Amino acid sequence: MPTTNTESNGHELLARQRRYRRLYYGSVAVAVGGFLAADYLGYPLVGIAIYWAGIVAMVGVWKGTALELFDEREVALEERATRTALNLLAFVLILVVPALTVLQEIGAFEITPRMSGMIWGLLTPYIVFAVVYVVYRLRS
Amino acid sequence: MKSQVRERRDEAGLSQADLAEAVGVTRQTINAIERERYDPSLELAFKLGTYFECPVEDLFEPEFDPNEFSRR
Repeated sequence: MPTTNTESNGHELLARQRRYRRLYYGSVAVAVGGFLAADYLGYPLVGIAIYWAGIVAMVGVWKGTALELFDEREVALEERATRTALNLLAFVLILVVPALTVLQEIGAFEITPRMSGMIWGLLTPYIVFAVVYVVYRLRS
Repeated sequence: MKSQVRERRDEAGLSQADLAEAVGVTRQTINAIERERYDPSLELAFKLGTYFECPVEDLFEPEFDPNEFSRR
């Protein structure tokens, strides 16, 4: 069996990976938390500046290191979570949207412009998904 | 998929972190493979086989009966 150099360096690689991941998630937390805090205090533009600084830091950590921050199991978990989330939202769209349309047609309910915007907001990820799927299928 | 990774790792006297670092994944991934809660990709399975110097079939056993798909 090949010997590893890991036994001599005390899992330095895993420790570095953890450190970079903390920086990655920390940048996202600063971006979102900073934006919400500054917006709440009445400084939305400061919030946007903090947000962008955090996002730039996140991308810097993500792309600036040769280390793989997320391994295949984490990618698989992310894909599974995405699929489950899309299926849950699809369930809502399939049941709720036709029901609202029927209710509106019989005059029992009115779909407000705000609700219409929300429905389109829910539909958009599926439209993007369909386009990306077709592109991948054509390339495979 | 049934996994023999834990047995092989114990025989080699390695920790999960040792093995994780050697094949380039997190310790949690090795733990999940050993607990048979995650089936590794072909690439990772081959890396583990190469590391332990054994065929992949010695590390992982499929849930199905291989004879069912045998050409003979």
